[in-house]
Amino acid sequence: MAGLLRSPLVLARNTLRASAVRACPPALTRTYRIDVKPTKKIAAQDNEKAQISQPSTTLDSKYRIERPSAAVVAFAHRLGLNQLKDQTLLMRIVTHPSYEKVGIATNERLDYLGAKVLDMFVLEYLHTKYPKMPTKMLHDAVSTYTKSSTLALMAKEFGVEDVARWIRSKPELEHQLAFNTVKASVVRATVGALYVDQGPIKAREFIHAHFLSRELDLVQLLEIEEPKLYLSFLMKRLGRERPVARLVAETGRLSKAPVFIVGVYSGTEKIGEGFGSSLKMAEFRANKDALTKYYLEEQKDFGLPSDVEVQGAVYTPTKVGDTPVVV
Amino acid sequence: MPAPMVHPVLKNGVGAFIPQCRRLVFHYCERSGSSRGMIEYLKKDLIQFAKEHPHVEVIVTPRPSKHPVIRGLYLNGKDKVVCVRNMEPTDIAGKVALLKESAGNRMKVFKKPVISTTESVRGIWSPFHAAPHKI
Repeated sequence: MAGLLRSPLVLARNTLRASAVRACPPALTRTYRIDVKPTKKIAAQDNEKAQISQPSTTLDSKYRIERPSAAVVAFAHRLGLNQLKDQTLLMRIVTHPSYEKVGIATNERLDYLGAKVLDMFVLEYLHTKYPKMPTKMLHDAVSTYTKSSTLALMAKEFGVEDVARWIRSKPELEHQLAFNTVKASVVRATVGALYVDQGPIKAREFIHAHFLSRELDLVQLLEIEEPKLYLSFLMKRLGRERPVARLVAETGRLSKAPVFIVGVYSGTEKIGEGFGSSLKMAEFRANKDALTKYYLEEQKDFGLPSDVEVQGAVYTPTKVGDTPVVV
Repeated sequence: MPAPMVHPVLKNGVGAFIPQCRRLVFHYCERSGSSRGMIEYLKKDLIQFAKEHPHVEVIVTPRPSKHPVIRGLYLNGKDKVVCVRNMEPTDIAGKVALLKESAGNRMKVFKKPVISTTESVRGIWSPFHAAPHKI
């Protein structure tokens, strides 16, 4: 047997005869699998040097090797986990610690490891991309990508719901286990398994492809109660002229629906613009816009610190941005 | 203040592409004539299909005294069922491809050519930022 990973075809044999139809309801009397090897093209994409002679999932010999079920194999191919050298990790990833059966390995360790790896690579990317982002906002941004509720949503999109193995409640537990917790643990364990099996760069690729490609408007995470005050302090620190708000355009001032466009200027340079139905509202938005443009300045074409792990890549460190203004 | 409760939204294909079809279930009847093409498909073409699409879990189950049916299950929890009674294997292969490529959503008419969450590159026209019309 070359490997455990197949695309299984489950065939149920019908053993009923005509006379027996009325006697008993139609039922699957026996199921057996036909293991279907993926085509050469897909097998070539898999890691050809996969060797599963010994169970390297665990050092303890009490854990039995489980063949991945059909759903788990499909799940693996969907996420690119077919490249894992140790295919016995698959059943481990989807098994929550609540699923306590004799000799079954669970995902607790991989979950913890994956959580740290995920935090690390998401933080590294956001820190390098937004050097001037306030630290609290950076913390919020990282946690938005890595928190359990996000991972539970992602798990549903990965198809974890029909592969996760868990037990909802036990007599000794005070409260029932939530499915979202289990789903999030499976996603983290996936990251952990990739890291352990394939190394940090493959884990980073997975995180960039599945987590950081998702759309998140970071502006809503920037919370500043008094933008005018913060902006004036910021301009002072930068050694630039103090910000002045000017009316750029307006319409319908005395009507039911006025619109004011206010621009914030540092000298002759417009640093922010805002609209509103009152002058105060427009000025507030303009100041907020100016702060957003400064703190959320994006770097383009940047290298990440973990590029040193990539063979042949040259990493030039980017300058660390200033801390946000202290008021 | 705690962080606002927002989640990053999936953009399938931007980073990685997750194929949406997770399972195909084939029902057939051993005896009835409407399943003749289906049985031929199962014997001839299905294994090759399963090889080429390892991300789809394929299940074959007899369903006696009923027309042959293919049920596709998707990651959004929905399913699509197609009856393939009296169809030839080539037609059935077409239906299988249709189910495999679908995303589980209801068929709906798209009235706009492009659906996007990102704004246009040149920006939306505003009367306050455009120069007034000059004769």
